[in-house]
Amino acid sequence: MNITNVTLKFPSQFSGYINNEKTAQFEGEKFSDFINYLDDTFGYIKERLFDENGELRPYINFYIGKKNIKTLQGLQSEVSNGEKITLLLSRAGG
Amino acid sequence: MTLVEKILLSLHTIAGAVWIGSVFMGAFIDTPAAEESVEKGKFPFKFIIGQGRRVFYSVYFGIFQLWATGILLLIVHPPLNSIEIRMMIGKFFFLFIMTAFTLYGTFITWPKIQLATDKEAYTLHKYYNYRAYGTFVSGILGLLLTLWFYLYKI
Repeated sequence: MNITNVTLKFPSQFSGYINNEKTAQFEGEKFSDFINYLDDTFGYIKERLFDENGELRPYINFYIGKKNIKTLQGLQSEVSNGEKITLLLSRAGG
Repeated sequence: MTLVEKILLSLHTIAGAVWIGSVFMGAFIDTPAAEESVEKGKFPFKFIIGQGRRVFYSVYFGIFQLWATGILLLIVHPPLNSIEIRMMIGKFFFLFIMTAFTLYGTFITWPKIQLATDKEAYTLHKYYNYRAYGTFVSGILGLLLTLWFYLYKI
């Protein structure tokens, strides 16, 4: 299986759960492989990102490069070596 | 009271009503209803975050318009005696509390809730709700001071 290297751009609220890592190296080429890597390495990551049906919470937006994975193939989106993965949270308030 | 003051006071009151109404709806009606709609121990993420995303605009419309019209009202008709000065200080104190709690929610609490586990989300939201109650009470007191301030002037 291929090894994929990515750079990470996450909000501080999420970075804290992954020891503020700025890069990651995981086995596989899919976004789901990346999430599995985070979950296996740091723990409780899927619980923070997915709902009870195993779907990505609707207000959580991951980007591979400049494209939201929702506009690609979702969790099955391909991640190229050297790609940047970004997480954007929804603006909410009150 | 001049026409300018009447217009500014109307905009000020509308902004307060929108903000206080949004907080009331969220804290006292939506939240308990959402929590009843899910299994025990599960946090109603979709509903609460969805509501937070929508209320964002009305709340920040309220903040911006309240501060803007409040400052303009202060310019066109500054407090004239010690009672009015004290009322104005009270109004600014309550508006400051509301603004501080809201900014804390936007920048600290809401991002954390979006990434929380069920248990963490309940804890975060409990303290968020306490601040919402504080915002609501401050809003009501600020609104009453505004009404008394201008009725007193009339």
